[in-house]
This record gives sequence, structure tokens and C-alpha cells, in this order.
Amino acid sequence: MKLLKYVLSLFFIAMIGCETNEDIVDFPLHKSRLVINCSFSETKFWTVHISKSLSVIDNAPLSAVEDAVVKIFEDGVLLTKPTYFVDGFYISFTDTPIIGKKYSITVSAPGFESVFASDSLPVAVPISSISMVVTDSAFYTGHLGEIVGYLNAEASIVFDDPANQENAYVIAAFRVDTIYSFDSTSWNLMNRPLFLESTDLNVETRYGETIILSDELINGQTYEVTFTFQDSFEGVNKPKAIHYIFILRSLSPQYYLYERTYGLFSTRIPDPFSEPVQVYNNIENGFGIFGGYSESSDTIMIQ
Amino acid sequence: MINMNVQLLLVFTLFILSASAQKYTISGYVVDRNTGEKLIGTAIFEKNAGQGTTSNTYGFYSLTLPEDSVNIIFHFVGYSAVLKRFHLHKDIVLNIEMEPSLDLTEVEINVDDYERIEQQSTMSTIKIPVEQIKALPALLGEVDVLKALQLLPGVQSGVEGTSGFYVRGGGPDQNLILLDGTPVYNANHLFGFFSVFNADAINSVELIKGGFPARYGGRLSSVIDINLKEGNMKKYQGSGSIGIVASKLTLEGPIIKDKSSFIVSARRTYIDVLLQPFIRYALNQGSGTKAGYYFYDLNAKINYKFSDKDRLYLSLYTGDDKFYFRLRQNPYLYDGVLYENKLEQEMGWGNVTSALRWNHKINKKLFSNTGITYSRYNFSVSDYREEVVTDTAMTRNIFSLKYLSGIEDWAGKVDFDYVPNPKHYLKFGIHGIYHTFRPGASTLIIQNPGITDIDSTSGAEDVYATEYSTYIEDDIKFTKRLKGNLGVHYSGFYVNSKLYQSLQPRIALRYLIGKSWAIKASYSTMEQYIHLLTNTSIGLPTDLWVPSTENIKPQSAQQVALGIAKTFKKNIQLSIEGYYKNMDNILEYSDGATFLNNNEEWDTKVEVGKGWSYGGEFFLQKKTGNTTGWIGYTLSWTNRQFDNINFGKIYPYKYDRRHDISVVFSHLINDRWAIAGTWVYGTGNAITLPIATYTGFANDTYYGLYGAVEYYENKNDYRMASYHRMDFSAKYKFLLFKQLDSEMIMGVYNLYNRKNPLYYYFGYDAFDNKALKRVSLFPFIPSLSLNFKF
Repeated sequence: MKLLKYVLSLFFIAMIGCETNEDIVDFPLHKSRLVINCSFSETKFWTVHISKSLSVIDNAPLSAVEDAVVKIFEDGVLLTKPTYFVDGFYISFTDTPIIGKKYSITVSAPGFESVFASDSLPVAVPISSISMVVTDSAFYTGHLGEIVGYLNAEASIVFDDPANQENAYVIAAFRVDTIYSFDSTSWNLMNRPLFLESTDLNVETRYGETIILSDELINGQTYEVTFTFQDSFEGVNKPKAIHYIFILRSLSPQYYLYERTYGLFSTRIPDPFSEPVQVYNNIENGFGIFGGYSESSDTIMIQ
Repeated sequence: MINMNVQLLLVFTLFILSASAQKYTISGYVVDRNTGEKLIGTAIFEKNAGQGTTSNTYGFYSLTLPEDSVNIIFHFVGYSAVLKRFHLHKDIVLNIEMEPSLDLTEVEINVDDYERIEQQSTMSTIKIPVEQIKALPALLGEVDVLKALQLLPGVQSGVEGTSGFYVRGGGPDQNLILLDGTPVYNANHLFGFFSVFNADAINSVELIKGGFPARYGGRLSSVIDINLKEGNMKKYQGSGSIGIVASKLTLEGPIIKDKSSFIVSARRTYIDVLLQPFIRYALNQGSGTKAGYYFYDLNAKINYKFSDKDRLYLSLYTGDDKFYFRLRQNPYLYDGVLYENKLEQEMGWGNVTSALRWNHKINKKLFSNTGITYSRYNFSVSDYREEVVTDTAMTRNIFSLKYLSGIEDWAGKVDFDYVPNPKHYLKFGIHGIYHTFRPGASTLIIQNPGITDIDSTSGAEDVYATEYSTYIEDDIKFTKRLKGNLGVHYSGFYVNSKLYQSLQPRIALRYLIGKSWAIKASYSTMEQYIHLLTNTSIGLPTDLWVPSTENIKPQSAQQVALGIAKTFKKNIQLSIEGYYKNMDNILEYSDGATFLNNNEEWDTKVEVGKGWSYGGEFFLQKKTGNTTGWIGYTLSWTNRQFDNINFGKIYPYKYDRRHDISVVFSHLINDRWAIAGTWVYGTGNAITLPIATYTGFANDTYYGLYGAVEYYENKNDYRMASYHRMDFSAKYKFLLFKQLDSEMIMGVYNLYNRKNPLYYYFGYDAFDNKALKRVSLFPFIPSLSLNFKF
């Protein structure tokens, strides 16, 4: 019995000893660098967001850089110098990118090392055809007399992937409607995004509401991507006609890598066992993305 | 010219005489005199002819020599050498019983001793006597075979305190752990803090890191061949131990003296029993609540010797871990209705392995072992809720959800040992395994009088696969200096109408320089058809074994090694080896993937890539004498490359450990006292930490969201602090109750209280500033255990 008591005493000593212990570890402080966020397309004026990075152990919030000098070059020739607009955005309201040209950007700001990046616009890939089948739908009257409903659909987009061009695609879809979204300053009217899902083996994954696929295995082919979505309704009346917009965006390889990895980073499950995600970065001496894309769209109406 | 002719004639005559000299075979078994236990790997050497052999896994040996006076010495570590002199003029059966050498004093070994490391053709192979393993200090006093192996060069431990190990840059799934020839799929209790092997039931342990003999296959990086004891053939005996965490009891003895014996060894933890009142208090629950954790394991083996030619073995291992929470609420009345509630939640995992083997000595030179084996690993989580409502009538509402995953093998094999003469030792055989993979399925049962009953099963379906192999190897003595183990292993794997095949050559050579130095070289290719999905470094029961598929090809490896070996005086062995290993089709979880996400198919969240490992290992070992132990040092580099991880760039493996040192000793002070100590040092593990954050940009067609991005420069480019630790134990022998041979073992884990890192995370310091924090688990921990024999 004495032995048992002794063993038990030691057991508790051992258990107390097994409590975890935490120490602060010296971690090298990262020197702040400039961050460029710029996705460009022939349908948009040059818009560049400039901010600064922080060490991962810096308590300060992320912030924009307002005194940067931004220069955009087209095929090596200075094209424009976007000027500061608001919230870290630098905009040039006179120029838009052109397919076939190579664009580069340099950004400098006091206290920071200058940064550089370059990319091109991929050729726009038109949607050859589009089809959509409503697989299921229902509408009923809610408790307050409102009309509530849903619609399940399967859609497909056909396009001709250009041969000899390395690119990737993002597909997005919207219901043409008016919903109100709040962006911290005002209420805006916007289309309703649809969450797309696909079992196509070439579709790598979906991040947020879009799906993304590389042309690695379909290069130069006519390709049909099939996907499904569910739409939901809530309103005073049952809609008489519904318009859907489908967008096919062709991304440059650099922009594709960024979209894929940033999407993965944003949607990862933050559990202690999940693998870290490295987000692609094509800014020399800095961080962010300078990537080009082209897009085409088509609309379908159902009644 | 005449003189020359005479010489040639003499040589020719001698050759004819030599060739025509009659040869006879000495064969038999080598066993322990006191217990009848087989002695695996006994060195047998005939001094006059300079020929030798070793006993096989079943203690059998065969040595063919010319008719002459023979002078044979039998030597086994920890036993008094046996010398036999007689005139060999016919085939004889010579069964040897060896006496344990209690004081373990050095046996002066003949320079030609067959057991010496430089005499063996194999390399990268280490045997540790079980008694030496038992003598080492152990975490919480629990002797652990796998943790002892972690102290060897070329073997890296994973997370502190766990028994996971990584051999020459390989992954945790690349180790073939055999228990009596049957693979064990999850060798961990309590998340790897203890291994499933009960040292009291083990006869021998061998680790092979490279230069794999052709008889082994199916894993890339190592073979751990563990053989269980067979039970005392002479008398009944028992042993046990009482420790802080668990207690063990082993019983063995003859069923029919010198013909049949048994051994049963069981171990169980009692944390759940001892802490039950505290758990109830902590959970703020009444007596209807039970919660806790336990593990147990049971080894049992019986054997029957029909004759000197035939012997049958039946062995069983079973072990389980279980976390449980059970709640039975007291019945209560509400609004005139009586309610009774019951809740049972469990998480459990465990292995079963079983082997039925028949040893048959076909003739004096040919020995066979035929076996059928079964191995199963299961992991399950269950949630059972029951509500009994008694109103005018009684209704029972049941909700039951059970998740089950695992792997099950049925296997058959026939192995032969053929010893035609002392220059050749052939082994050949054929193996077949029928695998059933259960990648995870859930069963839901809902019984409620108000709704239609649900009884459904969802999740991944079982996958069936057949793995087969055949091999032949020959341990050849080409000349007195040159010896080799040459072999070939052919294997195939058939799954979902897909057939993978592989032919794997194996070569190991040894060349003697002088009398006591040897140069060794080896080349081996290995193929592995099954994969382990794990993104943790600890032995979580959720780790999932999956087969190669059409998309996921088998893993393969090639390894070359070059080294030298020498035995110094007092039987101190030195081996220095360099190796290079490359691995193809190895798996890693994709960026962002986690095993907690069961919504995705397993093969959609893994990447397939390559790995390399190269380095050098130094090993100085002393197995006999009052002072035993070893010094091991490994200098190594291990890298990985996956197209979709780290943007295709090569990065260091998480257990890339530049320096790894272990110093192990045990010393017998006198008949009562013995001490032992270990010191280990290892370069810190490679982990991935962000260095910066910046504003990200999702040019989403709708939201255009901005969020903070964490910037990782490269994968695994941050080194945790180096790991080092010293353990110490002292053993005192005494008579308990004046009749039981007993030992009290007092141990200290982490003697100088080093705060070794377990993991790192970003948190906040006392002033609310962001900081990198290091978490360590095991400080200075004393332990006490009592061993006894009866």
C-alpha cells in the first residue's frame, strides 16, 4: 500500500512536469517592402494599389503608401504615371493596356527599396457557346408573405483555347439583379454572384464563387467546361425572367499562379495541422502581383 | 622444367584430393539452456577450415565441412561461448544449448569470429540486444523498443517523446515494422508517446537501413524485424513491472516440457482508473459520468515441437487505445413525462496481428518456413445517443454515428534457407498479401418513432488489392576476402484492374583488408505500393493507409552505400558509412490541405514528388562487458521536390537534420547496482514560418476583396532550436518479499531540464506584442518502476 502511495505521488509529480511550457523566441524583424497589387485588362484604366508589408510580428495594421511614384512602361517605353487617388490606389485615367504588348511597372517611395514587375495581356478567348439547364427549382410563400425560392442549374461554356499560348481561365457567373452590398462608405447596387462547382478533372479547384483551370492539358483544344450552381430568391414577387451573365477570363501564367495560390490561402482551413500556403509573388524586391487578363462574357435568360 | 611439372602435378593432385574429399553437414538449433528460447543470429565458426555461418530467425543453422577434425565455436552476445571438438566423418545433428553469461564480461573473440561486423556481407544493419534496450533510461519508465532505435545513426526521431522515426531521409510510412514476420501498420499508443511493443515479450530486434537483403520488400527506407519470445521450454516463470503509466505481466512455461511452450505478456495503462474521480470533478459531472483514456496490449505465443524437423508456432498480438466519454443522466420527470438520456462517445484504434508458422527441416541443408499471417489496423470514432421517453407508452430515440477507417491484410508465405556449402547461403521464397483498405466510411443510424428510420453508410468504399513477391538471395563467399549478398526481389501489386510490377536487384559486398578491416558497399532498389497520408509529425490514429492507384503510382527508391567496418579489442565495433538515396513518387499533402477535411477525396489533396537523402554515419558500439553502449553520429542532407509545392523549388524535408548525435551507455557497478544514461543532440527540425504580412488582392469579378497575406520565403526554411537532452537511470536489484528477484529503476528524463521545442506559433507576449512562441513539452521528469520475476 505504501508502494502504491509512492507510485501515485510520483505519477502526479510527473503529470505536473508534463505541462507544456512556452517561451518567446527571437525572430528576425522583416524590413518593410513595397506591395503592388495590380491586375490589368484592356477594359480597365490602369489602377494600381500600393501598400507596405509588415513583419509578421509587427503590431501595426497594414496600410497604404500614399507618396509613391508609379510608372507603367509599354514595351520598355514609359506609358503613364498613375497618380494617387484614394486608399492607396493610383490611377491613370488616360490609358488602357493593349493585347500583345509587354507591360512593366516600377514603384519607388521614400524609405523603401524600389520594386519592379512585368507581365502581358493574354489573348482574349471568346465564349463559343453557352448552355444552361435548370435541373430543379421551387418557389413558395414565406411566413411574412414574401416569395422564397431556389433554382439548381447545370451550365456549360465552350471555348477555343489558343494554341501556343500558355494561359489559364477563371469562370464566374452572376444573376443580373439588384442586391445591396456595403463597402464601408456607401450602399451599392451589384449583380449577385453565383457559387460554381464542377467535377471536371481539369478544373483544379474553386475559390470563392469562381472556378479556375489551367490550359496545360487542353492547350489548343476546343473545350467545354460544365459546372453547376444553385441560385436562391427572396422578394415580393416571383421573378418573371432571370438573366445570367457568364464570364470567361483568360489569365496570364503569372496572374494564374497568383489567383490559384491566393485563393487557396484565403480558403484554407486554419487548423493547426493544415499545410501552409505560399502565395505567388512576381514583384522584385517587394510583394504582390502585377498580372494581366482578358475577358469575354455572354448572357442567358430563362423564364 | 621438370621441377615445374612436378609442382603442377602436386597442385593438380591436391586439387583432386581436395575436390574429392568427402564433405559432411553439421546442422541443428541453438537455444538458451535455461529457457529453450531460440538464439537468433548466433555466430558459428569452425576454426580449422575457417568457415562459418549464423543461426537463422528460428535458431537453425547448417554448416557443411570436409571430413576432418572440427573445432567449432558458438558465440552469442550475453552468453558463454560454446566450443565443440570432434571428428567429422558423417552428417550430424548438433543442437546447442548456451548458458547466459550473467556478468556479461567480455568474451575474447577469435579474430575470425563469424559474428564480427567486418565478417558480415550485409551493411547498414544494426542489432541491439533486448537486454541493452531494457537497460536504457525511458520516458516515464516505459521501456520502448522504437525509442531505442531512434538513438541509432541514420534514424531520426520526430516529435519529442514520440516513437515515430525517419530513416535516412525517408517518411514515416517507409518503415516496414515486422512483428514475427507480420507487418504492424500503426506502432503507436497514445499518439506515439509509447510504441506498441512490449519489451518483455521480445526476443530480438534488428534494424536494416540500407543494403536490403532480397527477402525484404514493400517499404523504401527501413526494416525493423522484431521477433517475439517463444516461452520457456523448461520451467514456468513470470515477470512483471509496475510503472507510473502502465503495468505489465508476463507468464511463460512449458505446455509439454522440451516440446511445447507458451508465453503471454500483457500491459495496460491505468490513468483512467486512477484519475476517474478527478475527471468527474473536472467535467463537473456526477457518478453517471465516466471518461478517460487507456491502452492495452497483449502478446501471446505457443509453439509445438513435433520433432527436430517440424515445429509449429502460433502468435498473436492485439492492442487498443481508447478515449471514452459516457454519460448516463438520472431519469427526470418533465410535464408528467419521464425522460432518460444516455450518451456514449468513443475514439479508438488498435492493431491485431497473428501468425501461424510451420518450420520444417526438409534435410540437413534445406529449411523451410511456411506461414499464414493476419494483420489489421482500425480507427473508429463513435457517437451514440439514446433517449427513452415514457408517457402513456415508452418510445426510444436513437442516434448513432460511427466512422471507421483502417487496413486489413491476409498473407501467406513460404521461405526457404538452403546452405549447400559454407560458401553459399541461399534464401528464397514467395509471399502474397491480400489488402483491404478502408479509407474512411461513416454509418448513420437514426431511430425515432416520429420519422422514418435511417440506416445509411457513406464515405469512401473499401479498396481491395493483391500484393505478391518472390525473391532469391545468396550470401556468397567468393574468396577469403571477398564476400557478398546478391539477390533479386520481384513484386507486383494489383488494384482496380491496374497492375504494377517491379524487379529490384540487391547487392551487398564486403572486402577484407588485413585481418580486421572491411570495406563494404551496397546497392538496393525498393518499391512501395502503399502510402500513408499524414500531415502531422506525431503518430495520430487518423493517419490513413491508402493504396497506389491509377493516379498515384508506387513509391520507389534507389540507395547506394559505402563504408568501412572494424572490430577493436573488447569487441568494440566501428562502422562508418556514407549513403545516397533517391525516392520517386512520394506523397505530401498539398498546400493548405489538412487531414481534418474529410469532404475531399484523399487523392485530391496530395502531391506526388521526389526526395533525396545523402550523408554519413559513424557508429561505435560495445555490446559486451560491464560497460556497454554506443556513440552514433549522422551528418545528412534530405530534400524534397514537388511541382506544386514551394513553386517547384527543392526544399529541405522537415526532418532534414544536419547533425545527429547519440551517446548511450550502461554500466554494471556490482551485483546490485547498474546505471545507464543517454545524451542526444540533433539539429532543429525544418519548419515553415511566415516572415511578413501584406495586403492581398483577389480581383474577383464581384467583390475585389483585400485581405492580409502571410509571406513564406521558402518551405521549411526556418530551423527550430537544436534538440538535446540527457537521460539517466539507476537500477537496484533486490529480493522483494524475500523471494522475488526484483529491480527498482529510478530514472530521470531530461536531466538538465532543456526546453526542447515541440512546435512554434505566433502569439502575444506579456505586453500584447506579437511574438514567436516556442512550446516545449517535457521538462525534467522523474520516474520510478519496479520489475520483478517469479
